[in-house]
Amino acid sequence: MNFILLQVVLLFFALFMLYVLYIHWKKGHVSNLFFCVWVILWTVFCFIDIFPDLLRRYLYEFYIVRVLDLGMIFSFMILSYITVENNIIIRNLNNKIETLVKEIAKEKNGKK
Amino acid sequence: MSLKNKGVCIILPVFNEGDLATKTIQEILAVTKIPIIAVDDGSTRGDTLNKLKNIEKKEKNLTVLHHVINLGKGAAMKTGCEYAWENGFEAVIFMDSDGQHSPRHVKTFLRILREGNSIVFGYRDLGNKMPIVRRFGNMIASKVVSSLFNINKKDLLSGFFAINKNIYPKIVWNSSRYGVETEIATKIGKMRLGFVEIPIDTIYLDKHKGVSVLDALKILLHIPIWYIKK
Repeated sequence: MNFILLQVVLLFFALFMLYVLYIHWKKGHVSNLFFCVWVILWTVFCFIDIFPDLLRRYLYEFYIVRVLDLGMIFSFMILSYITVENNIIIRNLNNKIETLVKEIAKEKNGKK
Repeated sequence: MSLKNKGVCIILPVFNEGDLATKTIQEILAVTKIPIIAVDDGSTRGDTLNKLKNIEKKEKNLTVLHHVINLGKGAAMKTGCEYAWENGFEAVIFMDSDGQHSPRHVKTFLRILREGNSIVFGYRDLGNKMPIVRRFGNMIASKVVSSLFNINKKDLLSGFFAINKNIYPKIVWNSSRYGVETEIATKIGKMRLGFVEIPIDTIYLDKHKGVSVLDALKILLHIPIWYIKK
């Protein structure tokens, strides 16, 4: 099995991400479900990185030439989903903070 | 609805204006006895909050509210409005705290509100006194908003305006930062609400304050969202 440098870099990156996830899970920053989902995702990523030929048979179905392209497409899909989710969460937090700050301002500082 | 014998107050969002804000408040107090609600939006410079609190101790017509963190002009305006409605006021006049708006126009706003109008906008002479970049930006934004929202407003970005309590739920804004005035204009246009415009002085003390080119771009990006939203 011949590895190219990019595969090695990606493998180390995935292992690093798994380590980061583990640390956060140990500290209680993330839930068990969050931890499991992301461990599965990164493990699958490692597996495909080591055995890219496993996906080669699906490339024709998607009219794609390289496994890397398929990986990029799926990565963008996942990233897009995460961006939308984050945006919604940030907006909700923003609204909650605004409500909280307004209530504090009205209760604590109004003299009338 | 007549506003005779019912309360009107001035809402002044303040952020880092320091001495300029205290000067503006003193100028307002010198020409009118209308209560002022100054909302300090988490100021971090110029000892702004303490300066406002010092005037508050001396002036019974001034109430100072304080945001513990900076939320933006729109949020400060909303805090002021909610406090005003909770305290029995029937209408509010918004002014900038950096001295851009002359308090001598407050009486005109009051008169027009008392004639039964729900929304009164001040408009500046968009002629030579306004810096050319702002004049151009204001003109572009006005053209876009007027064509999309069917509203003919002489000065889209003027922050000197008055509304009454009944109209507030219809035009309440989501913009927490700059863009409040444009969002209100888009809502008025969509709902075809009536409004009155009065001329106000054009005063520019600091060309770097207020709506920047970047803010203007953000406002333009929000226009399609306001167009789609009900």
